[in-house]
Amino acid sequence: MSTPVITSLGMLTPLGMGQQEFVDAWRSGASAARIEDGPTAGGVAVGKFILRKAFPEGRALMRRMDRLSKMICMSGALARDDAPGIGDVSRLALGVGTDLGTLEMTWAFLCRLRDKGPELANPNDFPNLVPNAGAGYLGILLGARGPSHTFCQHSTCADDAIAWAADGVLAGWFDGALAGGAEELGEIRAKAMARSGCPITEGPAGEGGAMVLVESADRAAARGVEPLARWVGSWGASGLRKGSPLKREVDPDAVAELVRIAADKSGVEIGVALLSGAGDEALIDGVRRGLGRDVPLTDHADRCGMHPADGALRTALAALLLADGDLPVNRAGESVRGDGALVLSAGRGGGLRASVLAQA
Amino acid sequence: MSVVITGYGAITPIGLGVEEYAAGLRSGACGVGEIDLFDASAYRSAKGGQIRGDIRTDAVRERAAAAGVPLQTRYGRTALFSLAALSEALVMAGLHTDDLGDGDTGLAFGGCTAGTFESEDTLLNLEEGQDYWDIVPPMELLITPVGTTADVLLTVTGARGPVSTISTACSSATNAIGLGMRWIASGRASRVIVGGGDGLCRLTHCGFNALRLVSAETPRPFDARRDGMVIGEGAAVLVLEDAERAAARGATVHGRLLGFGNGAEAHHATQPRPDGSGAAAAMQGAIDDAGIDPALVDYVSAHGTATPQNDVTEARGAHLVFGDRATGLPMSSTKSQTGHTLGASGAIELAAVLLGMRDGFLPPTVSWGEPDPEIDIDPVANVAREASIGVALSNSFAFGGNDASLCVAHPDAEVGR
Repeated sequence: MSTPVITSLGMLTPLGMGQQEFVDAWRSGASAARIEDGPTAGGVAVGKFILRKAFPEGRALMRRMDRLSKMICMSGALARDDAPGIGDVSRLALGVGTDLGTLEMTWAFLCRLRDKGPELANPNDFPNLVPNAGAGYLGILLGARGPSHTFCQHSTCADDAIAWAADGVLAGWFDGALAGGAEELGEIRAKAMARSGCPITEGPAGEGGAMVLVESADRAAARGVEPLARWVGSWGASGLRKGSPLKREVDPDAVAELVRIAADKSGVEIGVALLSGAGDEALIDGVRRGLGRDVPLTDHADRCGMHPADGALRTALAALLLADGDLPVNRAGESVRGDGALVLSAGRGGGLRASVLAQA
Repeated sequence: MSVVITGYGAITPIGLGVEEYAAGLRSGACGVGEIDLFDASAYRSAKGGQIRGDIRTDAVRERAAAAGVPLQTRYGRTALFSLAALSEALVMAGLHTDDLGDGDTGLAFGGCTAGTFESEDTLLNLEEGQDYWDIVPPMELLITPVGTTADVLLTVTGARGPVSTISTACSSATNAIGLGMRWIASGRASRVIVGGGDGLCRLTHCGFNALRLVSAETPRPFDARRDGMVIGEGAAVLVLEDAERAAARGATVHGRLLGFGNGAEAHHATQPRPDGSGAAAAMQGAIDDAGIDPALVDYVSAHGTATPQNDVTEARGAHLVFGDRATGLPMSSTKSQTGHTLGASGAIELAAVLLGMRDGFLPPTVSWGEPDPEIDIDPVANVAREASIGVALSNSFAFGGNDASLCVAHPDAEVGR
């Protein structure tokens, strides 16, 4: 068994593309939240990115790709480029989380089916409608032939992907993995959220992608790389309140129990918490009771927007906060008060995942 | 840590429950016919492996009542199939939903379509002047994301351990089973409910038609005249347990999961590597993970979609793994009987392997008639064959080049770690 560590980050966020842009924006207290016109109105979108610069040899493939797949591939490329000397990537594993997948494209496909009939369905579109399309394209562009999973359990999807990657490194199934997730903004997502009564008022809807390179400490050392953070562990649970499985009402007691388990088993002093949602009282209360104290909370949701796969962004941010003690936790200027970070995600249906990272 | 299967259930086009399914497999039944779930007349193929009528038969209801599973219909067909399969798996495992809330039971489920069929109905049947967003019931939107099926199972079981949905197209269920196996092996849970479910819908039917990957007739895996798959539907659920925990409660073991292989082809969005190396890597990975000699493998439940590309590359992959022995190695495709149940197929096909192990037969590839000189395997043509299965592989290959394989052993087979 070998300790998993996080050694590089690929961040495609409304606050910036790439680790340095993001850190500069975060340190300055910037927020990307703003009112926009068009299909992403009210949401926080990522800036323009050009995937072909990252994979010049993949231009033909990119003509077939949907935007979400491009976001996943761009995040992976940024993580790759953040890892100089990464070497042979053919055995890398890929773990991707996305809850909604290509919702916008799926809608367009069905509308075309309705309006034009099946004979005019575009055969190039359909392969992009499966949630693992992005992972498939990233594998092709990187030449990565290791294990590949795509996770779709709502707001824990990216957390599941990263935890799977770390488990794989720990157990020796593979010695390195790119893992994270992505989600895109769009008109259909906004309409569906509004119609289904999802709590979009909690914070701005966002989009973006993030991938982290998880590898064994031995592999990182052999490359002469100083890890950003050490992966301590991840614990999953179901915290659904009785009732409809479609509701997103998290049981604070289940959160507290999970956080207590994560804190006890990790053996590190949690000094910052990065929670899904924006100010979800059930999560905040659960963390407080689980840890037995308050810890600083990040304000990423207000600044980057929220989406179901943003557990990847929070994991990357946790690694940055642990690696750079001067990086503020939030715009209030709080600092990390310990050697560990808790990343906690709660999804519709009650899925919970608590992951703990520690200073390397 | 050894992982055992203590219960399994299946809802398929050839049987509602494993006994009906076993009888169908053994008799060479074919569940493929004209789709009447929706108007499929304008498509290249109007064929499907559709589950017809109300699945809530007396037998299904009895199992659901015994397991404490409500057969809810409001979450759509996929969820209903999955709940029925869950009921059977729990009853076979000697469990009730009241037994699952211990915090040590997880859920890993695979699928692609969830409530897509129900969502399509409203969109595709709008009347003049209607705006979809004014009339769509919120429930239809909520049951569309693929993770919804796991939500429903989670609520019913009360399982409080880890939960994940894997959606890797046609390998979803196999990967979910592999994930559950990993969770138990690494101590994350001592019992995991695993499986997959998918219902027919226009989206997938239209998509595969547009790609010209479907047949207008019954599918003919491994046959020289094969011209595509037929989409099917169904669900299968398995109860995986740490062997010690299962033994401690006196559970009957129906199979042992020995190994799991998974890899990306890094080749093409929809087409397999022509040399079969992707398929071979998954099979070899499962064998290596099991720690067994490939010579011990008695049977391969093939992915066997009946597309021209898949079947020949899968056979080539078998030759890369098994060498000349692949020529005589029984390797059949039950998709010839059920249609391709997409994200559920890995679980439904693993259930077929377990039934073959239990009853001593190899499920056949039906509708097979003309050998393909490029496919040098034994397809178990048309008629189930009496044989004992000690160790088997179950393959699932998917869009995005996602290949997976499970290695499973008869409970009495003294092999593996």
